[in-house]
Amino acid sequence: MPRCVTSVPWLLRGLTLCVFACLNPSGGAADEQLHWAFQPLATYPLPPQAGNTRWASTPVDHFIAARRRRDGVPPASPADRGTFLRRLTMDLTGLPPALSELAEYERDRRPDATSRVVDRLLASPEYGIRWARHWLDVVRYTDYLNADPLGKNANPKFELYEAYRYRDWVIDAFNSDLPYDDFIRHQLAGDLLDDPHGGSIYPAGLIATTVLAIGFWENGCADKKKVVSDIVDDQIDLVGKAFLGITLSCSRCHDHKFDPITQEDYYGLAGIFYSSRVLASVGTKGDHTILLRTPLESTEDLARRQQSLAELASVEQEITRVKSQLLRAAKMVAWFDFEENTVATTADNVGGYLGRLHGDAVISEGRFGQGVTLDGDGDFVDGTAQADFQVKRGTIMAWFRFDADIRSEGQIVGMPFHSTKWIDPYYALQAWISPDGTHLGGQTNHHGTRLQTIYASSAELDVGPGEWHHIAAIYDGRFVRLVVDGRPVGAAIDGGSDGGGIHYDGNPNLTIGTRNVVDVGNYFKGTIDEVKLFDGALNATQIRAAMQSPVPQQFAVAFRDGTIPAPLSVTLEEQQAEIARKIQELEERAQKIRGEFPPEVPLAMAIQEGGTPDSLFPSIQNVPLHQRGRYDRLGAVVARRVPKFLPGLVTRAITRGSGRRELASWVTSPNNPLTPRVMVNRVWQYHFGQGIVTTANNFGKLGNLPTHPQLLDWLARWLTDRRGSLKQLHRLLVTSSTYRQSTASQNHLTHALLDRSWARMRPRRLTAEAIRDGMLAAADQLELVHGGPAFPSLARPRRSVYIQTRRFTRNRYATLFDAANPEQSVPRRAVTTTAPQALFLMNHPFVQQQATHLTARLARLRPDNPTARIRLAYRLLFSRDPTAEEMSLGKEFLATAPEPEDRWIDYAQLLLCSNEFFYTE
Amino acid sequence: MITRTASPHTPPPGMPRRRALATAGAGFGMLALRALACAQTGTTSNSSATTLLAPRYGHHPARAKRVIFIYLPGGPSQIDLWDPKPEVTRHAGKPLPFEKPKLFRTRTGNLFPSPWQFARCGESGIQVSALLPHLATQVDQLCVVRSMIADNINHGGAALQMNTGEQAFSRPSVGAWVTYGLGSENENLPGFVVISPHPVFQNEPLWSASFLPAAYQGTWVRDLSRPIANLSSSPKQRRRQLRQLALLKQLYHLRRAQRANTDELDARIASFELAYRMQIQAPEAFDLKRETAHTRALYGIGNPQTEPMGKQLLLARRLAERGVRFIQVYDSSRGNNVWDHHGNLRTRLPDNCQQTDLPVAGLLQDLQTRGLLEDTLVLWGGEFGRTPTAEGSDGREHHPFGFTMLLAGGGVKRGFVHGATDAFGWHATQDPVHIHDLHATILHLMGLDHERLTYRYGGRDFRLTDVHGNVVKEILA
Repeated sequence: MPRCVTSVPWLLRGLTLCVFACLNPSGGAADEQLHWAFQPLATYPLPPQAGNTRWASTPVDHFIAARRRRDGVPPASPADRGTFLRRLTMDLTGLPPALSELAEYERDRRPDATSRVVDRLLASPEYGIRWARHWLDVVRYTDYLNADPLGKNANPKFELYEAYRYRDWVIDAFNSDLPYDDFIRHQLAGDLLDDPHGGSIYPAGLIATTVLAIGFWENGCADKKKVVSDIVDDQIDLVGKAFLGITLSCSRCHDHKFDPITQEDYYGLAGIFYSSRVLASVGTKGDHTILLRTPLESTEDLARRQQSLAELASVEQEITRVKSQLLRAAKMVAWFDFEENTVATTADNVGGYLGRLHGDAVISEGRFGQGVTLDGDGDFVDGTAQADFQVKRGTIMAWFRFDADIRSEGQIVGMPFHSTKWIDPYYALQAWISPDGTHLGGQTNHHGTRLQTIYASSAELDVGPGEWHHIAAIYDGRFVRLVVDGRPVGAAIDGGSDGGGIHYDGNPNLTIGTRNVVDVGNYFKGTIDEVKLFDGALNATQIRAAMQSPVPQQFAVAFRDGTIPAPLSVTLEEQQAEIARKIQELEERAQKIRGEFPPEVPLAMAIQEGGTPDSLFPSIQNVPLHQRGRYDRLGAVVARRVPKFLPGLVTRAITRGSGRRELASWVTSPNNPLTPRVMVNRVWQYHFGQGIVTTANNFGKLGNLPTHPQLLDWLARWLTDRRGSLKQLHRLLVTSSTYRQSTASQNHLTHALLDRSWARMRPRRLTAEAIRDGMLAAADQLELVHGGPAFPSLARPRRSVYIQTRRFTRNRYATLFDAANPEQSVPRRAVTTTAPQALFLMNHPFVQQQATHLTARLARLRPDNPTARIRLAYRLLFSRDPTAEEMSLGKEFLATAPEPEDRWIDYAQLLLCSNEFFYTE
Repeated sequence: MITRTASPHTPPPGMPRRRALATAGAGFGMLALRALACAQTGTTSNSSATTLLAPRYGHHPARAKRVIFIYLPGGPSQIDLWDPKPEVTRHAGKPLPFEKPKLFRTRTGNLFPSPWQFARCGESGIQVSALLPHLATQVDQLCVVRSMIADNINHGGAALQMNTGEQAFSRPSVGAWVTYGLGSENENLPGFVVISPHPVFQNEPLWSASFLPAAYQGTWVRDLSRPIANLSSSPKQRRRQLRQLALLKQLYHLRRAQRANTDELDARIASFELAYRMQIQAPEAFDLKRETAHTRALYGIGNPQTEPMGKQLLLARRLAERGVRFIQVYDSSRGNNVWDHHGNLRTRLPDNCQQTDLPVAGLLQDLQTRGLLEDTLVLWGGEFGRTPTAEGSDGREHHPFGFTMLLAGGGVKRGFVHGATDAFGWHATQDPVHIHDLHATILHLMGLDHERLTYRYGGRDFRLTDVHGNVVKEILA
């Protein structure tokens, strides 16, 4: 539980209570005793010009010049064009100027050249990225807790998956110059705003309130009541620091020791946040709290999504059905006709495979031309193993003439699914004849366990010895069928059917005349001819055509389970075209439905009205004061209201809703002097390196006093008068003569004095993001793709704002270069210079890669001229030309390199490491 | 106009920075002071590592110059290791004879006596569990605090409190505070190093600099073979770098004259030179192969059971020797929270002890042999202890109401027991030591006054112990 540490006596309490007791709505004399920051904005006239009256170019300069004159300090000379352009471009976009931009600005001597550059930069989407990141520092933005939230020890349910939407919203808000009061209103009460486009929900408003849900509070706590009170404290702390520049949360346990904020003020505010919720549930004891996720679709949209999903499902079903009707050509994959032979081999007509004759197999007269005659005693033909024979569904067929004294179970033709095991259980498909020739069969066998056969009596079929007959076994994915002499004679369902068809263990063979080369006895006796294998299930009509020789090699065969297709009334091509047309039509319909909604309901970690379920305060309600900040020591109930320390503002008790709407109105009220003061000070700080108030998050008693109080108020009023247009504020500041000054020293004056009087600009180190983005830009690698979930890798060449901002396993690079620690609000980043930074720059692959890319870019643009390359490097990195001395030092470095192949990379890398690259001047 | 920042002193001209620091008298060195003032108020924008980590005096003479904090994540069981409770054995299986506190996670069952024997060890006769035969030989070096109390009953909040004093929000960790207060004695190495092969509960917030400058953040070493990132090991690469640094410096000096304030730019050039030197010195600091076979054996290196912790601790000792101010060693080589014995206590606790007992005892012996124990404060413990009552049939729940931590070396009594829990080992009843008190004591031993070591952030002067904490004088040697 945070408590304030102080040895300073409680100076102000009695005083401020007295002050507020005396307050009347119009302010009055008591105001004088108020701390400066809480006093209404004063209206100051521009200080009169003196001395060099042409120096000032904006009203800002009048204030600066007045103070500077008092300090007896002259202004610095203006920065040269290149230096200034680099400063301006970095400040507004976080990127260095492009070569063309530099050349154009150097050329453009018109008086409004700078103004045009400012317009261009403020209109660039890169502006929002730079300035959103400043804001994200202030609001302890985090988009991941762990590097790998799905890793094995991680707990993804607590992850902040939707936080990136807030980051993208902030970027958009800056780019669209959302007025600052709207910017605040969205973040405090966006869920209560109406959609400007009339929708029943307002996604941007919901997303903006994510800022209230991404705080750092202990999770996995057994004491859930404390967690909820910590969340409320985090929210109050954020409102105070980010928008008002005061430490409201100091009053959690007692009245503020320095600022006129009472504990009652705190619990008036706490009631507002206790009456809102960012948790779906407090979670089970000792486990994580569960964040609330709000669909970014209205209930009507959600209902329509349901409808669409149902429709989509039926369309997809229809697509599957139509696809199943698609006919394809069944190809003949093997055809042994025994017309081309040697003593030991016979050639196939499709792939030219050479079948081998075993035993006493001899070529003899066949059904058409020649066939093969087998003696029933170890004779067979193997058609060799071929990958092409791996048919999923198929037809195997042959002409045969058996001898009357056939004695063993001879297979006529068959195909094992195994490459070497030519034994019955391994036959995927075979046409078969029983001993004595009394039965014929078609048989399929899936891995020896799923055997289905059919039999047909040869007597019934009028099949006898010494005659030519035709047999075909067909497997269509579900049924095994037998067709004899072109007539279907039977079918059996394959109980073990798998939709994918036959599975193979290696390339299958075709064996002719046997189904067992291991045991003696399973051999055909007679003559076989015209052995054919098709990669589809043929129907009887097709088989009748295929029995002939020669045959058409293709037949239209449907991939449909269970039925043999009827002969086609259209050509295969026509049927295929028709199906394709139907499928395309359906796909378009599906695509259209899918386009109506993203695949998953988009969610935001938005705040909602109503207290946290299962907490002490589960509804919209006033809460009791927590003595010493403890929820288990409750005092008197305090009405929900905003704090009372600002004069002239309504602080009535809130009776409807949580009160966040009223809170937002109070923060953004034109009579609230803190809000615009704090924001103009932030903008000033990010442009000039230091705020007018140097403690940007604390304008209270313990904060520092403004160095230029009149300027601060003048700017605050100026911003208010322009309805909070930050782009106009940027323009005002960066077109001032103050901002235009160089960073140069003035011999006899100390830099402390120069800095205090703003009689020069300060050199500022680039932020962690600008260092990386600047290197990528110089190396011509930066991809300006915007928005979407954050990614973990430094190497991905998108802008750094899209790299994960992690809390529990921080990004090494971010920590190294002083990016904001996302554990809490960071009003201003520290700048440290450490040896590990230098090690990163010297050895990290990222830097080496950029040096390599930069080298390649220099070589590409200036292939054969080292002078031009060095000049180009200076313009890319420092926005200026090198001096003669720099040029000659560079050339000497390149000329004396012991390893000439890498000398340019070494040179490029050291320029990337240089102070000049790392600072804007 | 009121300024609340200390005005920067300027060292007399010609006085070397290091000497200026050394003569700056009590309190912080002047450069550091300026750097800190800058970081707090932003009067100038830069603080270089050289100033942030420069060594400086504390508030009073220090008894310990550095800390090695052996952290056992999950909460080791005091009743099975350091705090024998014969009454629990006598009443085994009976309910706790008084009401348990309101704060609980799961209701535990009845009293569960330790399955292990205790024996009086050493000259001090302190009782040590049979699970820790090696630490038993070092017991006369130890100060056993049996009356630790913490406020949080879950790992996240309790670990945060043990490391930062605060259970719920981001605050600087002890190591960050100490380094902020005292700087580091070796500018070539980080001042605060955390050796943890795997992430632990909460992880980086446990060694966060929070609102202190980032230079005080613990440097997380996961891979013991590559403890400092981005070191080049190639001599060819280093030769190229020498040339690069030379030109970098030349080019900088061409423009230096035009600058108003070159401190931070100078510091940046110096940081490259320092980085270059680190490439040569840091691998040596981290190279455990340079230790003798005897020393390696002392830490259990070579035995797969003890080697992971042995290597962590040997590395810690090498860093301590080289002036690193605060070293934290998390027992995480076999995963997160290995000391969290909700079940299988009878098998898992002996495993954990076997893996750490010998290396920790080895560290103490080694520090002593080298004369380092005198000014090195060694701590051993977790975020809380475990209940004397049973969870299930073979486990114990989290227990922040009375648990044990060990201290050794740097200014604490040896062979000493401080505080006690009640007869059933539930509450710390005699001389309770809150985490804030422990923190105050650590700072005190390091020469820092926990009430005066403050940092202004967001309009408040923060300190490690918030508004709490008393130095535990009874354990000071």
